[in-house]
Amino acid sequence: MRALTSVRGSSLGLARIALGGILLARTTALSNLLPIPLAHVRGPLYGWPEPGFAFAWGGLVLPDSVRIGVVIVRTAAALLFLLGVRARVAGLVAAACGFLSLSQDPFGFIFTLHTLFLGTAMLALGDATSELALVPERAVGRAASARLVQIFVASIYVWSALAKLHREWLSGDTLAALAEDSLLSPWFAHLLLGHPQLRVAAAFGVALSELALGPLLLWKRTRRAAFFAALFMHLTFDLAARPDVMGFVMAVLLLAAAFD
Amino acid sequence: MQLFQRLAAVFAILLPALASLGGGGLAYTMYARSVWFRLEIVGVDAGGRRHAVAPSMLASRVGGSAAPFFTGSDHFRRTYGVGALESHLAEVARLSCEADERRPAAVLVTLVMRDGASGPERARTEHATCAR
Repeated sequence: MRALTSVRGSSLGLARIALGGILLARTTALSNLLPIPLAHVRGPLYGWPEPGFAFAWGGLVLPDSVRIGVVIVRTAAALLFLLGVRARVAGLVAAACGFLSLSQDPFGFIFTLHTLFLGTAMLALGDATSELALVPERAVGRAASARLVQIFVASIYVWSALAKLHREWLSGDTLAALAEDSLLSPWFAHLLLGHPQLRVAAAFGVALSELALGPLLLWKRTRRAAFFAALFMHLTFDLAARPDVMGFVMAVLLLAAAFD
Repeated sequence: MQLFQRLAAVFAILLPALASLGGGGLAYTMYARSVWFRLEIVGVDAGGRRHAVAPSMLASRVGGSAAPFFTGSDHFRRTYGVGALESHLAEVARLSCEADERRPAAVLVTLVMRDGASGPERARTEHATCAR
């Protein structure tokens, strides 16, 4: 109980430190040391120019020198965000630079990085920058800061559930495809491919869980229970599919959202 | 407080909704749907004669995240989103101009997609006039 009370007073700061750590690890070559095949970074920093034809959002290809500058600034800003030094500006700069790098790699777009960069911006806007910081920023209101993250996290679950409300997902066919394409853990893939009814149950279970978590996180009386249910869901996802660092990113954002 | 509510509306509702309207499908789709696709690339010489260009030839000319979209894509392959490929077909046509050793006058690139192994096909074509 004392631990929960202690977390409640500094959960936003803890979330900033944890998300800053994930941001640094996932967008540098450190990511290649993680036991997650999807979390691969080519070059020393995510977004480092590669040889070959360049694609970009809207055809706006940046020169290599600018792209290198952007990833170096992003990394420095992520470090300052983690430490809590000018963390508001640093977090927003790190997020903006992250999106610039995403814009230069449209074929490599993944929602894990999208959520990581947006989550960094969310925390930078609020009191995460005034808790557990080397140089605390002026507080803007703990409840409002947490509310922003709550709405953001709830929206991710609702959008994600809406994307699954179609025949292919609900029939379990998408899960079978993921299993056949070796995108799930071998034991889980074997289990799903051998049991069609389990595939349907798992597909409905995931969609309904995500659909329920959104409103449950927004309602104060169910928020704490939703926090633990969401952590359990992400733990299950990580055991079943090793989906990049999405589970860690969501766990950190849940921490910021649940203890307002 | 009011500023934070507006920010929440932008980040949680407006931006994801715009992603949907932009043709990229719903936001946060994350492997929720599979799609089968293949690429047809046709070079056209100055006399109007057509020849096929192998999509796999482009794989070594693009970055690491784009390469898997070209390797073996002359036959139907399954993936979990072709939005990026569909949005950048015109650039793929320009790249094909450079890559095709027969120096075509123009290139047509067609992305053929279908939901599931036997669903109805839909296609999108872009072309590029090659620089001489």
